[in-house]
Amino acid sequence: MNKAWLVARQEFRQTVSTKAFWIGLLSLPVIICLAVAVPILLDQTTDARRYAVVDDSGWLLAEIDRSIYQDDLQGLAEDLQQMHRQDREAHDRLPEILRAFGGAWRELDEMHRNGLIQALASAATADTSTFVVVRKAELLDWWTRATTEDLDRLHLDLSRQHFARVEVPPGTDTEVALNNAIREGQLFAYFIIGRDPVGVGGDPAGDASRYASRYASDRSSEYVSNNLTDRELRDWFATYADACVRRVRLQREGIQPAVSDWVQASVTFGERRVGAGGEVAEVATRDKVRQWAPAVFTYLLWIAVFTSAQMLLTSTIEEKSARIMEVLVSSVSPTDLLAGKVIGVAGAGLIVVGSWALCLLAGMLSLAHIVGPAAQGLTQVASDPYLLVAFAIYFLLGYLLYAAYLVGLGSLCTSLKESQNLMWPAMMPLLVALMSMTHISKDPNGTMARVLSFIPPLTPFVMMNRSGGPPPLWEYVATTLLLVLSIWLAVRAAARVFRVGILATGSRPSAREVLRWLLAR
Amino acid sequence: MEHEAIRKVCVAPTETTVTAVTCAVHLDGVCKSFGDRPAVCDLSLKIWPGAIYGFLGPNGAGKTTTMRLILGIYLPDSGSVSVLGLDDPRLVRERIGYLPEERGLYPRMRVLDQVAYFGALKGLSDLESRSRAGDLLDKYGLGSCSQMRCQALSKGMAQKVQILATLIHEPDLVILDEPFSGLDPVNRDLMRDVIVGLRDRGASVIFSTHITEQAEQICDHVVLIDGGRKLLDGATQQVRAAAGGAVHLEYEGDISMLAGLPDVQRVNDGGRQAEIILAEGGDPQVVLRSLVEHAVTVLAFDLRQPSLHEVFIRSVSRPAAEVSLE
Repeated sequence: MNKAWLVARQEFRQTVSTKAFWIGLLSLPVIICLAVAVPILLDQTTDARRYAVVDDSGWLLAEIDRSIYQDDLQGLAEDLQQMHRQDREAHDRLPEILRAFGGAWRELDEMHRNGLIQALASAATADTSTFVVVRKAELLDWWTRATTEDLDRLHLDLSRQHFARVEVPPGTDTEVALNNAIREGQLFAYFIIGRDPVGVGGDPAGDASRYASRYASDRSSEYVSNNLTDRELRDWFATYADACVRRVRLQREGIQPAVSDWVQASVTFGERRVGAGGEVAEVATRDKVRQWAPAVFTYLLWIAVFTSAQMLLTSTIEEKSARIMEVLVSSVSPTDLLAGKVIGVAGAGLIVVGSWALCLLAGMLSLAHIVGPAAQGLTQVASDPYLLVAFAIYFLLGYLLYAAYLVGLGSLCTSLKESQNLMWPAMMPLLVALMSMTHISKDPNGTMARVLSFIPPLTPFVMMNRSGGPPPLWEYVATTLLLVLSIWLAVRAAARVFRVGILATGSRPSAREVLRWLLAR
Repeated sequence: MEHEAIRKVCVAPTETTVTAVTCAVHLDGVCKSFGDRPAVCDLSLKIWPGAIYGFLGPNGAGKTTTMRLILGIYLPDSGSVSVLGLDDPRLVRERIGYLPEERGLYPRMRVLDQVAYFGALKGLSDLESRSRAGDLLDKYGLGSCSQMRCQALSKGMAQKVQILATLIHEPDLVILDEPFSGLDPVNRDLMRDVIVGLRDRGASVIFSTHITEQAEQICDHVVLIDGGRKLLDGATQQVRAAAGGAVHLEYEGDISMLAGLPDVQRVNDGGRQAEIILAEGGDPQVVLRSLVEHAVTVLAFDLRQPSLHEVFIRSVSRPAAEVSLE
């Protein structure tokens, strides 16, 4: 066994000195960083979409602007609060009007904060608080004049950094001028608001058909753009337009906004779950995350098993094609050689998997720091010792099973190309494991999940995925025993094939020959 | 019949002269088949310490299989293999050095690490194997390459490294499969010196080769194997002597008339040199007279024992197509 450790040490060193190992090690962190950084970079480097609005109604654009201003103030107040809390220096560099606004907002409770924002955004208001009375016009003036450069410098985020409205060119032929601007790339899109976006009101006597006919015939509003894929601006603007028009319709029909909210409120089904002791408990975000977390672990497990077993296959074929095997088996028994190779690559695989786990944990901790309590639940699940231990155990068991097959296969082939044709018996269960992943996450104790658990090549992935269920203890025990038995048989068979295969040269042995090796003493 | 005669003459003296010494390798009635193809049939053989044994035989004769049986890489189907006093060769792996015919090194590993790794596999401690590897590399002029990766070595340098990796643990039994194949003249001489040096320090050396001249130069004993069977086995000089008389001729002219002489059994003609194998009781003077009569310019006429090449050719007299594959 001492020699097996020598081989394992050598195998480990060889594996970690390959480019494939470092690519595997760095791939996940790089992917995570890219997944986070690319959208941010794209967002930062994308220019604001410039748009214009031709308002034939004469009132809706002003209403929309007021709503946008209100939402901007809400976001601004929250940003100012965070800045006040975390970066006082940056906060102190802000214009005085903003600091005053942030201070006034912070002093109020939740309900009055909304009142302040509404009062600042509405044309006429009954609010007589000092800030509204004295500084309302000044704040609006700052908002109107602030450029995207000013906002970037102050680390503030307003809607105009994404969607910037430009004035409609003066003159009689407005649409021609706007069309030219779009064609020349100066304008992303323009909106035409029809003369009567609200439409005729209903008949108090109850003629409902008038609503439908008026709604169906309202085609006077338009959105003109040459970019047919990016619908962000259209959706964003339409959301404001919808809200404003609905508000006016409700007013015309004499319905109070509170009544409208009540009419439109959905029936809410509170989510509960039954605990281990039969008690009914509320479903927290953590519980939902926990249900899906095993799928993430299963996916990682799949990648880890596949890459590690592939590393072992590559190493075996390389040694065979480099003619090192015969020297090795004159010094070490084939069993020790096989064991050493499997252990060495498992060590390298564990380092890859461990680094991924640490990377995920670090990513989630950073996310928790940024996002707050929602992601903290995620961190707790990701660092759950039960899941981590299960992951390590299933990685080792899954790896051993696939390693046994692939190392036997590697001993038969003289090139990686030759091995590709014989990979399918290993690839089939891996593909099934991958395809059934989502279904098993949704129904971890269903018939399909239970049946697949008892197929040894699938056991590590399916049982890992089912841990959100979780399955009964006897299923854990039975499937693990079956898996261990399969590994034992596979390793024995691999050792027999390996013993003869590593020295075989020339054409690849036939299935009959391999069978004979398996049955030989 | 001729082969049998050679064997009878050769084997007896070899055994009688070293009976008091424990043999390094003893194969007794060993058979090994792969499927329905026999690779080694009823092979019995004794290898004595402090001697160089050459395994001769055509391709697929069973030489490599015999070596692998001695190494314990293969187990015999029947018969017994005893190596360095133990019945299981696998128990004495650390006292055997093996250089296979198809040699390889870990391409990305550094030279010193490579040699030291094989030393460690042969039971040396990490410290000792690294120290010995460094000394060996210095001794054979590879000290400056010790930190190079093997893939950067020239073919000749890589072959030297392989030899050093085989010998780092100072084995008592060294098995070299076709050690001269692919070597340039410089490395061939180096290999020859290494083999002789091993013998001089008391190790047993077995090597297989197709190059009979080399076997003739350095082998104390030769074993001729064909079709998995031992055809002859004995001290090199005795094997040659038993094959009868021969004349080494260097000449200019046409010597085709020699084939018709009753005193000549066969002529191995190289164009300017020839080995003339005399028939039993053949007279070399008759040969010389015939050459002079036919106006052949004789540059050298030397009465010798037949070469191992002749012994080899005479013993292996079957068509190449029948040679079995291992």
